[in-house]
Amino acid sequence: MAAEAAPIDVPGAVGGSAMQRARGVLVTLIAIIAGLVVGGVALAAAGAPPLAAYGELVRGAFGSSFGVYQSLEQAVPLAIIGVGLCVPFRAGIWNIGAEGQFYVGALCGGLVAIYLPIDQPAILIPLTFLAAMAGGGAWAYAAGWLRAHRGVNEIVSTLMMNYIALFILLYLVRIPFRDPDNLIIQSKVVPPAARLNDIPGTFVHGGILVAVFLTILIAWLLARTPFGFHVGVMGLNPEAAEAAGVDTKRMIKRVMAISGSLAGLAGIVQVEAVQLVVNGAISRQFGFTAIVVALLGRRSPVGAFLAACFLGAIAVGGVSVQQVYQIPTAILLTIQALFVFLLLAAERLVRR
Amino acid sequence: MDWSAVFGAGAIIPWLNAGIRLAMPTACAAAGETFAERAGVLNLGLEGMMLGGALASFLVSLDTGSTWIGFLAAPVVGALMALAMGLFTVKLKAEQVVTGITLVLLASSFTSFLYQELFEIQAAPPRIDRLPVVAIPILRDIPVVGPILFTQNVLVYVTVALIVLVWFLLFRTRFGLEARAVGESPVAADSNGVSVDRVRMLALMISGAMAGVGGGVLVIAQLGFYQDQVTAGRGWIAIALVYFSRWNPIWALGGALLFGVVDALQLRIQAAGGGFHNPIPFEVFQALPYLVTLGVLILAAKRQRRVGQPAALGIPYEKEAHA
Repeated sequence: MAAEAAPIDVPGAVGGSAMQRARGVLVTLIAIIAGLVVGGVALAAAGAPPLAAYGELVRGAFGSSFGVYQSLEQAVPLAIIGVGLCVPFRAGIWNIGAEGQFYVGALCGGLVAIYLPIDQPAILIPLTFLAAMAGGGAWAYAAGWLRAHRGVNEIVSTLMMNYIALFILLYLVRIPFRDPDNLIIQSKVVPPAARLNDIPGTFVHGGILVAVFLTILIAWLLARTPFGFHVGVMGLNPEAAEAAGVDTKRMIKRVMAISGSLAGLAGIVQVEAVQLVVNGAISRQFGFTAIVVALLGRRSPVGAFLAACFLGAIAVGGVSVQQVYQIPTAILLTIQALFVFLLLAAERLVRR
Repeated sequence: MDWSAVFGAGAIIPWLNAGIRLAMPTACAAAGETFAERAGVLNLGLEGMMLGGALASFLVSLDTGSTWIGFLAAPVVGALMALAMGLFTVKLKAEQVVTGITLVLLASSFTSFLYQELFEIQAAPPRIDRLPVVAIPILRDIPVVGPILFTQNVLVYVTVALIVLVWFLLFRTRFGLEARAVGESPVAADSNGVSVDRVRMLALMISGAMAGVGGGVLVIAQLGFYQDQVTAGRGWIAIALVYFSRWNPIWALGGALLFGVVDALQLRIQAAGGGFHNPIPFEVFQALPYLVTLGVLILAAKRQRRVGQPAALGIPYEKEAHA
């Protein structure tokens, strides 16, 4: 892909020269620093000394090997979803339904894990992964189909489907698949054969390997295959892509299905490694934070992975900040969204 | 369950009356969004601006003790948020979709933060006085129609008036003509001396103010309290209504009424069914507004595609590019 074909204002649009990449990284760093400054003002307003609070944040996230492991575990769902979202976002298709696709994946995979009588992890876990990817992928594919064949705006449809997915999940774990022996409304506990244990010698679960593998896979897919090339062309100019023989309808369905299946996979990974049950509280806005992750990573899989680690560290460090200074955790989400805003501004201002 | 409480003759009038009230927040936001989109700006920050308006009206009402002053804070905050969005999309020409989605994420987390910071310690969130129901003399005595249409919360009348005002501004004034020209062909409008950026900025702020009012109406006329993420997707439903209504504020009001009536119905069925042991799971009713939105969106798209869609919708206008 010729570098000059990419308009500079599309974050991480397509490939680009080393110079452009360096510029992109610089702009991102400027935005993050500016975000930390603005966030510091918000912290001060909430009654915490900003520098000390940031010091506490860094100490909480990186001060111990346990903190680092925790940060990585926080990053896993964000990375898996965010890397997947790079695909439609580059194609100019706005899947903001990852939250719902995450629920559907957790549900499909979770039911397979709980009710399939297999006690071999090597067989059961891949099956749960497949079920979750099929579920999340189908949920997103439906929105892609509606967009491609009926012209239904995918932003609104995927958002509505988030709510619908949540209510389906809440019903299923309340009545048909509820654990009758538990007062809390939730599914039965995932059997040991379907649990993702810690990597030997560490305290971080196997999901991190899934995240790393997918980052490499999607980066390869986007940079080195005809499919990835078509995604980039579509994002720059859908009419031109159509004229050049790209089947854009098929592409819309594919990019949606890919991102949906990854969001679904993130759902089952979270269930099998962290939650161990399916209920309405398995996602802490992962599907929405992952949008920030993909955008902050400039729609490149490696960038998204790094952004996920960054936001994961903020989440873990933020817990200690919250404990020390009694600050609501929502301030962290606010600062994360600010990063993207400042990135948008920095990109446009640098260009002038 | 007692179905006569839902469908009995005596239940129809209160149901439709509630339907109208429940329609207003979405209708208001949809009318404003129509104006922005007609001027070529896709305001996806609507949900965030509704949240901002809702929280602002609640906090100002609590602080001043006057619900009316609180209500006035809603459009101000909504318009200011739109101004911020405009700085990115209109002035800096950033992508409208990304900016809008980011604004919603920012607003939903920031309102959560403020709400947690201010009220989380308290067991029950404070309530504000809802504005009164006003029955319009003479009209209220018309059988059936009177109790449904003319015995409403005072803000319902205000909202309808604002929506008609938006329609008037869009189709009957010079500014509206300029806005529509800018949305159809910014190049042509520009060469005729219309400042594209100025018109788009104002259109965006109108949509922000209307979204803010929608949030305010939700808190002040319907609930009387605020809760985290109180708008629950109404801003997105409003955006769906704009497509459904073919970019006409009055039709958006009509579409919103349909939603209000469905919403009122599901609340009534839930209440009559007594919750947990209903033969039909209550999640079905909770999901109903979102299912109906999806259905309406599909139906609206199935009809002639893109009729009425402003040609330059969502495309940033850069003067140099056309010079």
